[in-house]
Amino acid sequence: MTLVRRHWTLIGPALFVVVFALGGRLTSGSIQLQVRSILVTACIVVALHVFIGVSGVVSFGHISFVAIGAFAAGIATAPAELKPTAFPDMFPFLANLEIGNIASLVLAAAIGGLYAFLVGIPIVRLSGLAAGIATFAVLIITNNVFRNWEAIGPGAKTLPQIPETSDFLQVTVGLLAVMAIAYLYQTSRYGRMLRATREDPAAARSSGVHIHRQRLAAFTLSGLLAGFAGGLLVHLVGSITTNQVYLDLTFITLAMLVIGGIGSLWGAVIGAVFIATLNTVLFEAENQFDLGPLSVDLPAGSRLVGLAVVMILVLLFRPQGITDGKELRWPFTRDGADRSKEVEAGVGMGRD
Amino acid sequence: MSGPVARPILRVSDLEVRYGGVPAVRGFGFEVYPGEVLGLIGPNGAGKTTTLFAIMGILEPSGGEIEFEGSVINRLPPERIARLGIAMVPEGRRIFSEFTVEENVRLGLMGRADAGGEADDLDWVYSMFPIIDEFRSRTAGQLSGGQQQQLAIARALVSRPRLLLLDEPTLGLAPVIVDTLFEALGQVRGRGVSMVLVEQRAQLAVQFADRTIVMRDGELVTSLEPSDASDADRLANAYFGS
Amino acid sequence: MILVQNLIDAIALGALFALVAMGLGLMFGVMRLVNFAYGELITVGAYTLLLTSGQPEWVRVVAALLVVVVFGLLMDVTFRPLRLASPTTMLIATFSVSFLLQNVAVLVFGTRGEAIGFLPVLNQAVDIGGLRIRWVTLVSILIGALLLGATSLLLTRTTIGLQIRAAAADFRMARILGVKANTVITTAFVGAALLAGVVSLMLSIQRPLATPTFGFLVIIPALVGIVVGGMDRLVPATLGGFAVGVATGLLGNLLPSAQRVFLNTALFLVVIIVLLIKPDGLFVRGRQTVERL
Repeated sequence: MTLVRRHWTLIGPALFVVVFALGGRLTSGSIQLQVRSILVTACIVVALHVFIGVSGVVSFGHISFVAIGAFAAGIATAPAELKPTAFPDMFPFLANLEIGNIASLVLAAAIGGLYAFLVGIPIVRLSGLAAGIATFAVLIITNNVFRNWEAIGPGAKTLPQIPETSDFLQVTVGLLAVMAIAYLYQTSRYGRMLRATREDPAAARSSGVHIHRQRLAAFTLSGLLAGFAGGLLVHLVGSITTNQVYLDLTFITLAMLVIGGIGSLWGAVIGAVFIATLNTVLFEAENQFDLGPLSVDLPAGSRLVGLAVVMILVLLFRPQGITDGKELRWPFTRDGADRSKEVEAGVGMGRD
Repeated sequence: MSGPVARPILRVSDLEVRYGGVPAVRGFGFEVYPGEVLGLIGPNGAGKTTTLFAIMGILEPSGGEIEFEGSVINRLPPERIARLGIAMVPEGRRIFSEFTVEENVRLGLMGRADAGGEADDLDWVYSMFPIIDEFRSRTAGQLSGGQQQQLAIARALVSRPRLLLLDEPTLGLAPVIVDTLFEALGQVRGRGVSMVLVEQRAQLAVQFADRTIVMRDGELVTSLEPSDASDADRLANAYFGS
Repeated sequence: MILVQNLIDAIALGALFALVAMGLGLMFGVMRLVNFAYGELITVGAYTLLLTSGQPEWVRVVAALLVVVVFGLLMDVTFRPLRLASPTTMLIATFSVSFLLQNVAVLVFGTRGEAIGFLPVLNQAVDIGGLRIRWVTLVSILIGALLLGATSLLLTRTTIGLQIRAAAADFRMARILGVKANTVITTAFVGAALLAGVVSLMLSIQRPLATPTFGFLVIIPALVGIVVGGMDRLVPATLGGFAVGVATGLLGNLLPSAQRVFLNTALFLVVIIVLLIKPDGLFVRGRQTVERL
């Protein structure tokens, strides 16, 4: 029991995820897809947390890694007989490639990590405003390239016929794995060193912490996890377009992180689940659904507006998010003292 | 001071100012009487600048009261406090180095409570600091350290403040320049402007001020008279404690 | 000949981008705010013109400018609490507002563009010394120059201009001297909004359809411009905007279409490089440590 308590920061949210997934399994067909989608989105947000939450530096570009992972996994698993005709300009080795499910996930993670590493080398030197703009630039560039370089990507067309292998098992195990890795990282020496640079850069530097090196490690790891999430994503719906992994997704996942509370793993999970559920409800509402005697039918576009409004309200009135940047607390404490080995997260977003 | 005790122009009582959760100043209080120069000395980190910032409205006190000419000014923004008649010359001068000297001085006019009479105020200040008058159209960044300090003080004075807060005006200046500066400050004192003078050069401060208080770790430690200026032991004790 | 024509078109685009950069620079100067949502002011202008179709042109102009200024004031109010927030929070917040407004536009108007029909006559070309130049190009350059000049004069010759410059240079010191924070920030926002309004007018002539991303597409290169030029100071920022506008115009016309789609990539690669080598911008001399209160 002490083991459970010591690692409650991971186990608590993990239990939540399992319960959520099991509950989703019991629902009807179309909602099942939504639940799986929520879990995949949570992967992305946890990946974001590994960098943004721990380092305190914002990145608008992480969806690039999701994108590259998704495209890598997608192209690698799309049927080889279809690709050359549908995408005549694609590199032959890509067009003829066809690998298995797990392999594609590994590939997605690897490519995500590699891309993040390369991009990160210059980027991690920047902070605050400059980092935000530079990572935004990465997002634009990645999207621009994937959209127009027909040799490596599907361009503006949809990449279809990708095996839909992201069932409940794959998605849940995937999310749990991502969370475990995130937990291991943030409680590791490296994670804690990086967190120190966020709270007091001068002190951290003088105690020998190489800020850029640690940031690069976090950036690469989060890119890897994001790429993996991209792999899960593409196997969820069996197709992918460049627009699906661009500004909308960037905004939504960032909103989830902020609303959940930057700096905590639990915040990433709960923010993702809460907002994704809201997103799903609004999505259904846009297409009309019946709530008992009520019939809800919102005009198209209200979903994103609703999310944006929630995001702005949170930023103005509770910028530290739902969790205030703190991890999930062990629910059973005797004498008031909590002896669980919590990673004391920072105080939300501080000055860079 | 002779005559009946006048009402203090500035009264700080029980001041507490926090950075994050930590109090940088606590239980600190003092009074400044009209026309008086109060010296404020103490080691680095004692809370002297914090105190001045609190008076000027840049930092909001978490406890205590700051009264200027009888009214409480705790919650007011700096621009309002400026218009009430308090001016500040912060540490490091903070002149606008890309603007001309004249533009810098003109900015000081923003702190005036009333329009009109601007020309007189400008003349007054330019006559007190002839160097500034001479370099009116120069870029402020081209001035020497001592001249910049004069500019900073001139800029503060052009709004005719009744209370002047100075934070380490002699920082980084050669002794000869320091002398010139204190001459100018003497003139300012002669015009009846009350001052709170924070100074690193403890001896100078104690000598020049009517009274000097010593601050350490956010609290008031002791009070000194100009006659103590030559007593090195007393000064050292006050600074570092026994 | 073609080259000269392209150059003139590019200069007109540069003029418009310079105005946008100036607006962004004004808001950045007084609040250290990179306003991702500034483009939406341009979109608002375009949609106002759309909604006033059929009215006399001068009514449409006044309405557009008015509505844009109102939205500018709304932004002023909304972003005020962020004045002391970290750059991260600010970026996310303005990004959110931009996102919100774009999707409100989708909600209200749909994603398909609608024809604005504003002063289409200016799209006609006039023959000048063998060159065929559209009226709107000439007007853009003229109005651009006028506004840049007027703003310059305002900033350097008036008291409020002095206050704005002082606030941009050292906000805390300006307040100590008695400069009213609120007045300065609101004036800067209103000024920036007016600039956005004018840009939306000029663009609406040339880009006939009002879409939810009307302004967002302009803000992206303009951001490039102020980062490259130098965010901290108004003149370099404006120059940066002008440079990016001219570059975009020239490259847009001169590049074969296969390469043209990668224009954004090229622009943003430049941004990253500049941020790494000279984070203060290309046109700025020396570093400025700026304090915000």
